[in-house]
Amino acid sequence: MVLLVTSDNEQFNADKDVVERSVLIKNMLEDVGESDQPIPLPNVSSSVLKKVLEYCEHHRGEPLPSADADQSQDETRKRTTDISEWDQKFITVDQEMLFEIILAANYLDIKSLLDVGCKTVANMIKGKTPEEIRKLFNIVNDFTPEEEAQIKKENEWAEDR
Amino acid sequence: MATRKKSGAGTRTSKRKTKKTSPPPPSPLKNSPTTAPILTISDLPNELLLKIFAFNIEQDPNNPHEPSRTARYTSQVCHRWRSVSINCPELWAASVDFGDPVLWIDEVIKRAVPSKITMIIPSVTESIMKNGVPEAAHPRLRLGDLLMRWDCTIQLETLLFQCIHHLSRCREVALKVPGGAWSRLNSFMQDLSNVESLTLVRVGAEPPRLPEELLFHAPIVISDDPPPWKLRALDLRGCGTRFRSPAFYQLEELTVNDVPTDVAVDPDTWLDVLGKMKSLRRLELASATLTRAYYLDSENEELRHRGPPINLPHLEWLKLEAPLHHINHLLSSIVVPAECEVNLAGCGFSSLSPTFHSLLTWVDSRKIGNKLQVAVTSDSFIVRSSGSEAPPFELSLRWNVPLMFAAHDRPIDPQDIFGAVTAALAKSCGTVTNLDLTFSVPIDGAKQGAILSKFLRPFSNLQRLGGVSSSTFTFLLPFFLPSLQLEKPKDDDTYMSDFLPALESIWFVGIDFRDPAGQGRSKYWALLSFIHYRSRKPVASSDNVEKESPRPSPIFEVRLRNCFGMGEKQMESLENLGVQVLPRRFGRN
Repeated sequence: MVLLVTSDNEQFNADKDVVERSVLIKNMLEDVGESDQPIPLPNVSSSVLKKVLEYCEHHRGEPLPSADADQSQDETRKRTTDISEWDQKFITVDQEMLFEIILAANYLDIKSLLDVGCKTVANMIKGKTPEEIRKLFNIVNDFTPEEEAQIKKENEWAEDR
Repeated sequence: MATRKKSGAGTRTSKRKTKKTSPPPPSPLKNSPTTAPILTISDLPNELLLKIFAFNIEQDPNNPHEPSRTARYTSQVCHRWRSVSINCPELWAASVDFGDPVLWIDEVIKRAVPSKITMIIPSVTESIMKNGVPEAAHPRLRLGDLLMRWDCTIQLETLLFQCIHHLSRCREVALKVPGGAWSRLNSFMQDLSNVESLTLVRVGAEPPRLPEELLFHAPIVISDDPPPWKLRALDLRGCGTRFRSPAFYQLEELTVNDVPTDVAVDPDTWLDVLGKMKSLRRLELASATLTRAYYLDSENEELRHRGPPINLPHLEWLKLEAPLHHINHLLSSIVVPAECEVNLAGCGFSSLSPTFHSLLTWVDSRKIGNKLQVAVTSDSFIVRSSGSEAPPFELSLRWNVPLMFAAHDRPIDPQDIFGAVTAALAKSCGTVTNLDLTFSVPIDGAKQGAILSKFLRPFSNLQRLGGVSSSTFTFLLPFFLPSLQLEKPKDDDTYMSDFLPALESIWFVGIDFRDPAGQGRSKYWALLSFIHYRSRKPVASSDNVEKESPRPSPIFEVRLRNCFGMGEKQMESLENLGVQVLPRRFGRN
């Protein structure tokens, strides 16, 4: 068992093969060797770690993505937005938790969970106009008048059928 | 299973807790999208935003959208999103929609072509394009796979011009172009000053020569200063050039494949060219020397290079695929560094000419690693070696007629080749611990005992013999059968079964160990005899003086792949002699 301590100072005990889905924790365990020392996770709150461990528990034993995969290819060429049914249910959370999970997966280096989170956001963006996206994510339109003019021109080019 | 416990309840960090005290916002996935959550998408770093955007650049059958439109809208949300997306060329490279108006496509291409991208413009087939317009099944074509035809409609012709205009900003360019369309490259080739890696692939059967004035049309100032070109890697497939421009002299990687006869140059011309490319690290010339003169004169072709040896001190990888005398001529004029990986494929090999022996002399100078593979098939003879102390090496001899048929002046006899090659390698064979010896044509070792003896003797440290096929077994039969020493050299009283004294493991492939009806004893019997012989204890000499005669190692392991006819009892007999048989199964293994 591995003891994890969250940013809000809660402790979680979890099986080694569950937490080792996190490359960060796996590397830390390899660095410190056999030890009872708790692993601090200052960037992850208890509510988020609980979700993350739920994900890792469910996917326990599945093969991890290969470490030598070409990072740039990995980032830009894997476009599929397929999400398994269990993952979809798992990631059906409010926006704050969704972004918390994404940030935690990024920090803990759990690629598959990061993909699930990012795909979910990507699916939310699809088919929406800029204004709809702004409303969805509460984003302020901060374009300068020059940028607005350029965007207007782009849209004229693109819509000129 | 994760368990959770609270420690130091009063020590919770306040920041997150403060956030938690607010009522959780309703999920935008289920409820109102207008509620502002505490942690927002704006808290994600740019690389995660980009990762999200990247998931939308291809069509999604489960959630259909227009990738081109999604990319555009994503760049129009806010200043940060625009900056992140516009500065990622790959997002745009995947978003070209040929259904879009030209002005917008031009803008997309401009965004898609930065300094680092490989662009491929192949020719196009009728099945993909119809009347210059992508068919319905291919409504969107990614720029990375941009398919265009050179005699297409005006719009595509315009697009092509725009593409070429932007291509000149690339650092890596790969063009697959129908030969008849080389001239269309003129505008692009006028400025290659940013290109570091250029691949040109000729498609179809049009005129192949790539006129140098097209390749480097811009005036080149020859001075003490380095030329303005940055070209470091050139890959020509199905086309050729004369390499007259100094821009070629700083090449580090040169690959030339399948040059048609009309534009091929002979080995002497290649030597002149290579002599100026002192920075070459990788060189591949494959079917690049097959000139008209070669086809007319074959081995009598006049090759004249008599200059000083050409030194390529940085060469790390060399592949030559050419007629044997061309390889020989090139190798005799180039100083190949000892640490260079070498691949030689002598095609058109038809006789044991003097050039063959010259080549073997060159081979003899190479270090052989501890792993060696020898394979003889119906039309090739391949020697590969590798090892920690030597760079990988491959010699492949290919001929155009079946091995046992006469060709030109005399028949090709595999024994002759085998004997010559192995004799050339003999000095280095002592370092080999792993040997794969795979024959797919019969070579009778019993009739060629001298060759077998010369071959086996140098492998004094061989521990594993692999790839033993049925033909290999036949070749090695005198080795496996201690009683069958038909061609034992008269001045040598060593039994062949004592050769390979360090051998411990034999791997068989595709052998039927059963008794062949009416053909004498089975291969199993031969193997059992051999293993029994090798497992014997040392015996006292006849003069009653106890002297320890050096004994070869007993065999510890036999591996079987796709083999037949070794049942449980036979395996047990081998195991009783201390041999592990793998895999341990009945019947076919």
